Amino acid sequence: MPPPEGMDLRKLFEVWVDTDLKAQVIVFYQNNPGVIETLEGLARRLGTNPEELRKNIAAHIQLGFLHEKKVGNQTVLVYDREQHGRIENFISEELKKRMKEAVK
Amino acid sequence: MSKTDAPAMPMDANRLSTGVLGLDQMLGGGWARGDANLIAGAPGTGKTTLGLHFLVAGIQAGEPGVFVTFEYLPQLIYRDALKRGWDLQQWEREGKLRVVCTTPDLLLAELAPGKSVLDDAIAEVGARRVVIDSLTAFEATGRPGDKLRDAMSGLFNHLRLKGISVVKTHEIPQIVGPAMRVSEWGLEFLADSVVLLRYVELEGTLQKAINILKFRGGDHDRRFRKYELTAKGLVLAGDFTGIENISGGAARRSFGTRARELV
Repeated sequence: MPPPEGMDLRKLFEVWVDTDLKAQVIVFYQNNPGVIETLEGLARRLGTNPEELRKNIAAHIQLGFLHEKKVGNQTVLVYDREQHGRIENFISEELKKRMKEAVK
Repeated sequence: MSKTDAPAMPMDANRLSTGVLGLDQMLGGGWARGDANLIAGAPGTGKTTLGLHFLVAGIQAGEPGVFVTFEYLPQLIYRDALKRGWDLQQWEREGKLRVVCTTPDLLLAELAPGKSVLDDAIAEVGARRVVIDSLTAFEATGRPGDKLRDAMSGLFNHLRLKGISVVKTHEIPQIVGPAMRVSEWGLEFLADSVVLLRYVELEGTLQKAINILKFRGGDHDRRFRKYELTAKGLVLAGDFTGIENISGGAARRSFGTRARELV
């Protein structure tokens, strides 16, 4: 697992604004950090299909937002809780900044 | 932070507060430490709330906990708990609680030899209490009854050996009615105690009744007691004196009560 300060939060924001589903995954784990699911299970919970999710979630894994773990004979996706507070603060600050810019 | 009303009762070191003073009294001092306790009841009777009471009482007593949910997303558990004044997310940030949302199959699978997803969560916060909400989800895995019982038995023994006190919930589909089975696969036999939450129809009103069906830890109150789900959680609200057929679901004033009223 990379150190908490390891994730490039600028890149996370790029992932967030890339597609609706990518943003949905970030918001979902911010609200539900304890979800441990397979890709198929996560797709069910998000109301999407596994293939679409697979394409969209690669960036989250590459960035270290989500980790893959082996549980029994299945691979599950786990959110990196250690970065939770940092991500939360960053997103809230970034949103405020962009709102200000939009108002200007 | 809203406190549970349980600390008002002096506790034996081998007993654990359920988080509900009235229930602690019914149990003669709370659940036994290290036991696996079952809360069974119809939908909406407060099984999850009672499970949360148990965790909150633990956190207030310095015992971290883990809450396992299958069907409900953590965000809904956080929202509902906050209405009772329990800020679960804050306790997660403080390392006193973990809310885990997964599937029964993943919960039972091994992360590493002898180590599960649940063991990981327990180790993260040093949990002494675990709530599993609910075992009904295991029935949907399609495992036959004997396999389910074996899987459950293995899970509870594993937690018992770690000295973890467990509360598990189970939904009984019947809302009211005379026939009531706790589970189709003998779940009640795997529990050290069984608390039954049920609806009782009394003079045209649906009321809620709590009863201790079984408690290996000692003598206990065998009466049905009224309870309400309030902004503070589950609160006992008197008994059903002079009422009969509560276990049948359609209670009525007993013959003696009616006779006394006629005299």
